[in-house]
Amino acid sequence: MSEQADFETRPISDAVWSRMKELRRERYKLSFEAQTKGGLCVTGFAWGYLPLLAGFGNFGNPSPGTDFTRIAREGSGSEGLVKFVNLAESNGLTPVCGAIAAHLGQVFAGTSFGGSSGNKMTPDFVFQPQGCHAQYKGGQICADLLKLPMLVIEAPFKNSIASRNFLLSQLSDAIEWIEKRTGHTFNDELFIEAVRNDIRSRVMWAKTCELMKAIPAPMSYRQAMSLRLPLITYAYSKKTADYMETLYQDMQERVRDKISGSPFEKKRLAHEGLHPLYRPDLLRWPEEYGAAFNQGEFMMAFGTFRFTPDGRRKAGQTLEERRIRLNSREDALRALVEQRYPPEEEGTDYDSQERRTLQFLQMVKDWHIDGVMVHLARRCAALCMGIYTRIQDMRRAGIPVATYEASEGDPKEWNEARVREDFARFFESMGLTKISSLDEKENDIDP
Amino acid sequence: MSVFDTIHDITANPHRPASEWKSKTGGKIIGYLCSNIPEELIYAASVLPVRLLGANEPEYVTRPFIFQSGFCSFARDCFAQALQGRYKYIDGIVFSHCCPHAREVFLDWKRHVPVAYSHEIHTPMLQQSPHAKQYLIAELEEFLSSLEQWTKKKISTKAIDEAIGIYNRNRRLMLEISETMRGDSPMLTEAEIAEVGLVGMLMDKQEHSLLLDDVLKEIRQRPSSLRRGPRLILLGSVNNNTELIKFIDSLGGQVVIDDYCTGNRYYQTEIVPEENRLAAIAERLINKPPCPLHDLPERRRLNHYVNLIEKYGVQGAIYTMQRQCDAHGLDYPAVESRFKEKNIPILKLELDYTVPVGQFRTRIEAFIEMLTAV
Repeated sequence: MSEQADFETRPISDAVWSRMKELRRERYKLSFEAQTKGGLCVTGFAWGYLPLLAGFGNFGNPSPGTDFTRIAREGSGSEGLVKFVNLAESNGLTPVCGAIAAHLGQVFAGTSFGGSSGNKMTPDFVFQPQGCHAQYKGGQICADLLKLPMLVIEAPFKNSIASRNFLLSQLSDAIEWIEKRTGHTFNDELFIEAVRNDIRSRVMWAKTCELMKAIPAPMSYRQAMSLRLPLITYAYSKKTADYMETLYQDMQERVRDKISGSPFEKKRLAHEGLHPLYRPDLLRWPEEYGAAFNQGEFMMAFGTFRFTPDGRRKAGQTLEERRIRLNSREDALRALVEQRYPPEEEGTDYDSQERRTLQFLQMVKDWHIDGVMVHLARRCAALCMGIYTRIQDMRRAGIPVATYEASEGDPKEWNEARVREDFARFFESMGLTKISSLDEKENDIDP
Repeated sequence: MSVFDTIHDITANPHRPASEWKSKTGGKIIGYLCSNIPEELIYAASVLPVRLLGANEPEYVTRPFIFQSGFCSFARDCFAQALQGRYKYIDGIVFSHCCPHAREVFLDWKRHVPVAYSHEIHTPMLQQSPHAKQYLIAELEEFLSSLEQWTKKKISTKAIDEAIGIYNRNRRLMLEISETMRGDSPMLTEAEIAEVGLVGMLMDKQEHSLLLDDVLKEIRQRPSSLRRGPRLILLGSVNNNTELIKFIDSLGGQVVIDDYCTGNRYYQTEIVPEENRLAAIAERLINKPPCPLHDLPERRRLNHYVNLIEKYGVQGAIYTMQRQCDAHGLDYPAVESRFKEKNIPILKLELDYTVPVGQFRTRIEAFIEMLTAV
């Protein structure tokens, strides 16, 4: 940096950073080893319900396909992600979300379930809980291509007793379905342990996200997106829950010592929407202008938060903090359902525009955000649902907002010059001037 | 005067029947977008359900409200009409939870074109689940209660039974008309059938059924003529643009059936009486031929297609997709594969609500030539 930093920065401690990598590596390895050791191998974006699979012991979860991280690593070029997107399109899948095209392209190419050393696995089934329609229809295509049975779980976007019962019945059936289809036996104790860990991991992450309210924030948004990785695929493990506690403690110390994730916070920014996964460096661009991304809904997406009626977000509590003991499969299933439908939020429509705006405005206030950059992800109707209305609401509330267009998964939608200009114009409109360029090495943080 | 003159007149003035109904009765009107709406309950509340359909509105109308890169052209078009004030006679909107495009329209409509009443029925996506019906019944109970609150009127079982009777009769009549296309010498065209069905979504079903009686009488008097050209099925996204069907027929094809949710799928199944009326309504909604979003984990829709192919002697299929309708886009490979298995050639076309005549002509002509050469 060419200017004296406003805040002291320090690398994230090795206990945290290396541990994250170990867990990531371990999970990846497990994906290949579990099946050879007699465990299940399941594909699909099943993140919210992995404790259910953990009830069957160690399992592989190429989610969805071991090479999905190509999205982050091989963003462009003829040998990169583009070829998989093209392959999906050439197989008739158009229009389709970029991330799903990237996944299905790899399934078409036959590379989806192969590891870097040539090892292969064959999933037992596709487990695709309802996320967006592209995810579950994509899961169905994957099941067609690989001739696999498919298990779907639906969690309606509305918190009601009927929704809770619907989800509970499906999860209960899912256990029997898996037992019947695969011959594996479900172990209640493993399941209970996995649910407990999963909740602890997610609560600890939510608490860590709350620490980002501090000025300066103890880590950058870019770092946070990496540090949360075990939470996505391995939250049910005790190792991850412990890691999340270590991370939380580390961040508490950084807050206490006023150690910042970014050298400057002349403006604290939020990134709305999922960034282009093949260009994670974008999350550090504000640093060139002395600003930083400190917040964004995707950072918090895997944490357990609870909301007050005025839109305030607060970290949930672990089962231990709530003095809840899980004694049976039924208890654990209910705890998993409550993660999705907290009883105190009964009656909530999760799509409600008013609710989302209220929460967003409150988040901007609580996390001391000065401006919001919105990613308008082409061909992702789910992420962009209601986005223009929310932008109007933010502007009405006096929050500076800017947008850029790309795609979270399809690098063909990426126009570097255009996006750079969108960012620069936004920073300049906020009175920031360019103070440095991030060098290549500094920018190359492990995704 | 032919009954078809009346039908053409409604098609040309789609908002008139409901507006006139409102002036005449002073009743309330609810607009809905998806065929998963339990219209019988709305009707039983003495409220007129009217389907929101596309009308070729310019794209710029919705631009300030919807991020349009990747947005369904049909849903966008419906919302554009609301913004243009074409639906001023509507008192409320009811949507079924389906694709994000439709959900966006629901959210934006509520916000930017305020109406006195709005409700979203969270129709389960996973309709094949044995628990889906129970969940849907709970949603219907909530809807019923919400309607009663809004209309300040208790909806009796008798009123629901009457509504079910009216709607079932209407479905039977539409099916009877549709099935006239099974023979070699149909007395009307699929474009006419589509138009007859579509006007029914814009008016009182009892009045529409009277029109259908007249249609049946009139077509029985029509001279039948042997029609040539390959027999085609139209599949794909919601589509109320009958010009496409006329266009295909004009190029030598013979559309005999469709599987649009604004067409055949809308009146395919009746409500079978049950002690619990809401359970009976839920049963129909769950068991009617599904759209791609509700068709999993098994692909039951494909079997429905095979039935239609056999029943209507179909020789070719045209899969018409509203631009950016990813639900149907994601289903296309499976549909194509099943049609190939059945040796039924299939052509995929993308619409932007309008029919791009120039671009389609060559493709459709070539497709028909291919079918006739086989």
